[in-house]
Amino acid sequence: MSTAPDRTAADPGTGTAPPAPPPSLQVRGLAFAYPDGHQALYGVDLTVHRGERVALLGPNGAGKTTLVLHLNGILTAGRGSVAVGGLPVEKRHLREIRRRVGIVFQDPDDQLFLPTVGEDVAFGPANFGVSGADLDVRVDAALAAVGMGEHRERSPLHLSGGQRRRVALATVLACEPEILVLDEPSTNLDPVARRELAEVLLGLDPTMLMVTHDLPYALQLCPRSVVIDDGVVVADGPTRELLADADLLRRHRLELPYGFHP
Amino acid sequence: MGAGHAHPLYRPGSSPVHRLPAEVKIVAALVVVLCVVATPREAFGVFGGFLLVLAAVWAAARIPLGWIGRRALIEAPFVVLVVLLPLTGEAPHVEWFGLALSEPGLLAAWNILVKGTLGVLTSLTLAATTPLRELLLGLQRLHAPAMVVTIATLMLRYVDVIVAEARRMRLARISRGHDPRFLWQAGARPAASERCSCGPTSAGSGCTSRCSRAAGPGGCPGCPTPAPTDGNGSPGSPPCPSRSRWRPRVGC
Repeated sequence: MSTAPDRTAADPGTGTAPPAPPPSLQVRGLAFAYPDGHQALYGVDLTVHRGERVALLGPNGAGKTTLVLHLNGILTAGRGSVAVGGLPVEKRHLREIRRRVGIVFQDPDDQLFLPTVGEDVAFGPANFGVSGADLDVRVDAALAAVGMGEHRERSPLHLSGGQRRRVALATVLACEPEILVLDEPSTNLDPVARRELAEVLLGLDPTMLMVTHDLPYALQLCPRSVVIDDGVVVADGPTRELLADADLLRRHRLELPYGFHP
Repeated sequence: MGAGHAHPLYRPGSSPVHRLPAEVKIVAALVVVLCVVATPREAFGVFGGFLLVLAAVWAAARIPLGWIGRRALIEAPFVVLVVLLPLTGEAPHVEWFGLALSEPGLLAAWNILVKGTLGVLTSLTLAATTPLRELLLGLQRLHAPAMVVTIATLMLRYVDVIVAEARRMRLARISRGHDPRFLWQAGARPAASERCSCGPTSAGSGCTSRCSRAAGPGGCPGCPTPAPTDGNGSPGSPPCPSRSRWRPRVGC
């Protein structure tokens, strides 16, 4: 069990500013109990450096979603701290924090609710104060990045599941986040849509934290993985090594698909 | 007490009130509400009597006043307009802190308020001491029309589904900067918030959030240069250092 205080070796080196940039995400000793008394996190430490792509693995009920909801201040830490790009997650910074942390939720239908794809993508940046020609440029760039440029005027209701997932990703990319957080991005996608989404994600630059049960997807997209169980980080290392550790996977109710050997 | 799982209106317990058959409680609640509605509005003491009866039930069922009081606030949006009645009603008027209040208006407002509140409190008492499933069984034992019971069952089943979906959609919206409080939002809306020139900040710490609150058309307090008020930013102002980090490799 290592919590990796310094993982600059894994950083592909996108930080070009002369002083070392603060990590995109720094979680220290985060503990949280729900109002009904259920303790979901018992002191999580996690640092994600700029440009890293990290998979967050863990069984159901491990505290993954609770952790994600702390990253943009929807839940606030009972103990410990979260900082995004050096900015602590506090009430007075919430607006900027929510711009910096782009969460793509599991069900794209939760995220898409406006009459056209273009309006849905513009919703986030407009809330963060972008307007006029700037907003148009943002929407076009985000839709182009996910390969949905020609669907701008269509209704999200008329898109396929894979297309909706990519539009949901665009709605977050348009906010130009510091870190992209994906909650189970591959659920309910057919194999082609799954591969297309992976290609889009691999083509993006931002720091990425991907919450998933889909271990092959984690291997494909994220060089580093963090396993969380019972509210603590139980493993942190190169994805291939973690997935090769059958004992670790068994202990934390993770399972590779039949016939898959990393 | 079967399936009343973690419903916000139900308070688990084993008091005599909880143990009463659901159909008895349903009929009792209905009778109390009918009596409340039939009471003349000038019979102030009788309303006090109703409240005492309810308070006795709460004591027997060990329901704290604060618990039921918080849930009774659901009535507020429905009765908020009664404050207009004393102001718009007809003569005769009474003087109150310089305001001329209509006497029939006051009485009408009291009538709505007291009967509404007692009705809500009665319903809450029933819901607090009876699990949902028991309520439905109670209706069946009372030979309520099958269609009514079916509709109530479906409603209770799907209201949770709809509330959960609405909650997820709200989370997704506020995660993208939506701030549904329109009064507070007034100062935070201008586009100035993103490209403000708050002076040098390290990694954008606090830059946008400080300005987003304060930046009206006049600019940020403490800013040497006025904040831009349109979406394009002021020509000379440097963007926040944390901006523009994300660049898609595809399509740009």
